[in-house]
Amino acid sequence: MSQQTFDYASLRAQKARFARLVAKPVMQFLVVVLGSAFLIGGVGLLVIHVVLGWILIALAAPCIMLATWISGELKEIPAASGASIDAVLESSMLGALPREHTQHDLVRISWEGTGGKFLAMRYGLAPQFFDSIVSNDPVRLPTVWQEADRIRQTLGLATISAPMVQAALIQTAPNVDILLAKFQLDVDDVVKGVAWYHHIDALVTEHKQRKNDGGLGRDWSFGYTPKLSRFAVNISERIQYDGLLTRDIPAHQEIVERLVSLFSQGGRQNAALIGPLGSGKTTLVHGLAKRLIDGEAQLPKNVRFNQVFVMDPSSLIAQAHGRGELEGLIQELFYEAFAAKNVILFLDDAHLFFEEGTGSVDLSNVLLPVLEGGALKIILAMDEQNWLRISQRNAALAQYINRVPVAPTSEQDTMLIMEDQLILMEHRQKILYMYQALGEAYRLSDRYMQDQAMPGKALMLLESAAGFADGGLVTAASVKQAIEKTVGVKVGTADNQDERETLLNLEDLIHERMINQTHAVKVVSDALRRARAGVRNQERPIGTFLFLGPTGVGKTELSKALASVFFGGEDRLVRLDLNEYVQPNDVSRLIADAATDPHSLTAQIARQPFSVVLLDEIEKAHPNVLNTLLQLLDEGILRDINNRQVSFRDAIIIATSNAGADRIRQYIEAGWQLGDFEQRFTDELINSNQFRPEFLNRFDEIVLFRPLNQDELLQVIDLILKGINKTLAVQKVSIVVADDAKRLLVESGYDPRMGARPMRRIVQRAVENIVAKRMLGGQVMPGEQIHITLQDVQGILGQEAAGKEHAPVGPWQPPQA
Amino acid sequence: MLMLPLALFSWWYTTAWRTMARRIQQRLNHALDFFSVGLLMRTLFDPFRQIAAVKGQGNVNVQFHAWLDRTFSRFVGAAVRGTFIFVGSIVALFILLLGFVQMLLWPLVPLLPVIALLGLLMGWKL
Repeated sequence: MSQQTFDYASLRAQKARFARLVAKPVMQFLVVVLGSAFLIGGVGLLVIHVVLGWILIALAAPCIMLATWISGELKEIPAASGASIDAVLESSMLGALPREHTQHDLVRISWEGTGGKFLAMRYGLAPQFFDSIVSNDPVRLPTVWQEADRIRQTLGLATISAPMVQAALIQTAPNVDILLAKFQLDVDDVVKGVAWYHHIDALVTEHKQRKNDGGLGRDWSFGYTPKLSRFAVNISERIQYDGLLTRDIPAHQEIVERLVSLFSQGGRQNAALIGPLGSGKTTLVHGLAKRLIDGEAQLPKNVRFNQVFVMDPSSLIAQAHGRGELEGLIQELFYEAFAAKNVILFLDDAHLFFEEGTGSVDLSNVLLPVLEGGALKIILAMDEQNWLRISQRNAALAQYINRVPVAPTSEQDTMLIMEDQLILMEHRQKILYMYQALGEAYRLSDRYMQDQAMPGKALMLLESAAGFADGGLVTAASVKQAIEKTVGVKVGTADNQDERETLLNLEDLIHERMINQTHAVKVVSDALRRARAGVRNQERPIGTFLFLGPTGVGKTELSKALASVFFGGEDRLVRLDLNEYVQPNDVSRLIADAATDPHSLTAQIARQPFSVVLLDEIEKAHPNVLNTLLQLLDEGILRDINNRQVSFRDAIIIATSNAGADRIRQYIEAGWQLGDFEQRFTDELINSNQFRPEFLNRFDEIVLFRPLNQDELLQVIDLILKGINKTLAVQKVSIVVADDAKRLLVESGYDPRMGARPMRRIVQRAVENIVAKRMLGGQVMPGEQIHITLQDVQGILGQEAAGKEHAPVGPWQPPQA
Repeated sequence: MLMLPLALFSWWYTTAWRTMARRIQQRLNHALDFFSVGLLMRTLFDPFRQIAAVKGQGNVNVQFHAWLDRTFSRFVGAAVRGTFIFVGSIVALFILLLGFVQMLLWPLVPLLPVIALLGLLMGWKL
């Protein structure tokens, strides 16, 4: 390879330097004005018989030639033969390249070259970044040129452009991966950016060129379509005037070719595009329309200049009064399309024509004969489920229609489609998308938008990210914000100070709501910190925990506290009592469609993926239900009844069980510490067949909750009283309960079988009744504090409390098991 | 520095001349496409806008009237198309002639100073 050589004196280099001087708008303007003035003046003088006019004409010639040369060659000097730098370097850069140059010179001149700012705008790679990666070491320079030429050859282009030089500088820089990582990029992304720049350049050039479209008499051999023009949209006409930005994705090209082939052959002239929402069915039909009206495309005669009309079912249904009228209208439209001989009808959401319902009407009796006849060119589009449902009902349909599956696009193709589509989006919304936003849109939409397919969902997310543009720039952060707002999930790492504080102090915040169970609180807090620091396994839920222990010791409370402290409110707790799922067919309730049961587990998580899922009393669930939950625990995925994937990868899964509660109590009473018998207890659970080992193994952690002791129960009382004070704050009063009264409340409320749960009821009954009586009796005024004594509580709890001879209250007696 | 004027002359008589010929050809193609000349010639006798009775069953009288109907539509079509083919051909011819003159004058532009010098010396007047 001889790119390392640079002939400063070569003709192309001289032309480039000359072009740099003269190919400026002002110079061009002067040359043209001067040339025109000389020519007109010269001819004028000759007309009035002044022979000196020949001098002016003589002077006009060089001006005319120079102006023509500038616009014809100098503005963009084509590559010369040979492969030295001066032969293939883009002329705008070549003209600025010094005889002896360094990498810093390359940064400077590439920045001035055409497209030199592309990487800066799209990737955020400003000149300062380049200055930090290049050196004045001449040894590395040939490698840079070699790399730039390799990129040129890979892209099949004639000249080395400014973005190619920049990409080469990046590729050849040492340790550049670390620097690029700060921009969430790698070297391949930069090379893709070069391809992107040249693709846009080619699109603009193509757009400027006039296309042969058949001309004035193109449609004279075809019929008029007044009704279709009124009730349908001629997308061919629209594309002809506005153009269409589509990339030739191989998979889509194949389908367009298949459609052309179907409509040009003698068989049934119809096709059903079957693919999920967002997979690009409508775009494919637009691609077909564009191809058919391209006068230069190689097409069979019978489809050349055919026009595609989109029939919108909902507008047709809205415009026709009654079923009979609609059937008549559809028949008229079909006849008009058939008689015109150049119409292809496109029925988007075609299932609406085959079923009765709101916004749909069953026109099978009109459509089936047309499809069976096969003479009318027609394309239907619907998703797989609708197709299966309709073809199950109308077996003939599948027989008459040519089924063309449309699969969601791959990541690579989706990126290419986004690159094209955002040109229009940017133009419409006056914003600029960064490359990182595209990658993020793909990643996040793939993960969180389950109701659509690629590329539709990625494009939709990109569009909504425009609303979060920062100074007109849509970045990866804008896309994250868009998904966070629409799906209600935290997708980035914790990067604001408040959230970091919350995460670091999660245990303290949770303990404001619940007493002790420090181990349980710690494991859950650790899981959340791992998730928000971005170091967790993204293919599983944030954490999966099995909480074991007696009733009323804080298992549910911990779940609620998590939902409230970190997930944004207790409404983020999705709670399922699995004692309601004891039948084998209860699985269907668990994964029911959101339309039929909005409270099914899958429906709730699809709506709100960032949640705490609490599966209460899991031991009572039917084995089929438990088997269904295994996949959820393992992969964080559950498929609903329609086989749609619902992600639980942003949820914390907490299963609770009372299994072995008595055994835990026995261990504690025998003086064991939780950590000492955890493993032994788990083995006992497996041996006693209460849980299968494969089920227990699915959890990240099995957490034991121990019964609360007296001090802890008193703290629970304090928490309950705090809650009551919060309620009373509206009335501007507060309560203070004496210590002996609290102890009485503990003794009255504590139940070894029910834990601390009945205590809340007792406290509320005692304290709230006292407060209510005093307020009604006018004994308390706003701003006052109500002191509740042991006697007050005894008075309220009445005989039950008095019977236990609590006055005076003696030393604490631990509750008996 | 002498290389640049030579480069200009070299470009003027090679690439630029060829480019001009290609542009004239493109203009011609666009004009023919604008007036649909090729397409109209291929479909010269097709029914105009498909306004004609469709072939069908019926007695001889009905079929005869349908044939008349179609023939009339074809006649109208041929007349309209013929007019446009004629107009399109005239425009194309004009472009061709203009292009021809342009191609002829092109090599003379660099010679203008010489011609002007001769004109000055000989005292040519318009």
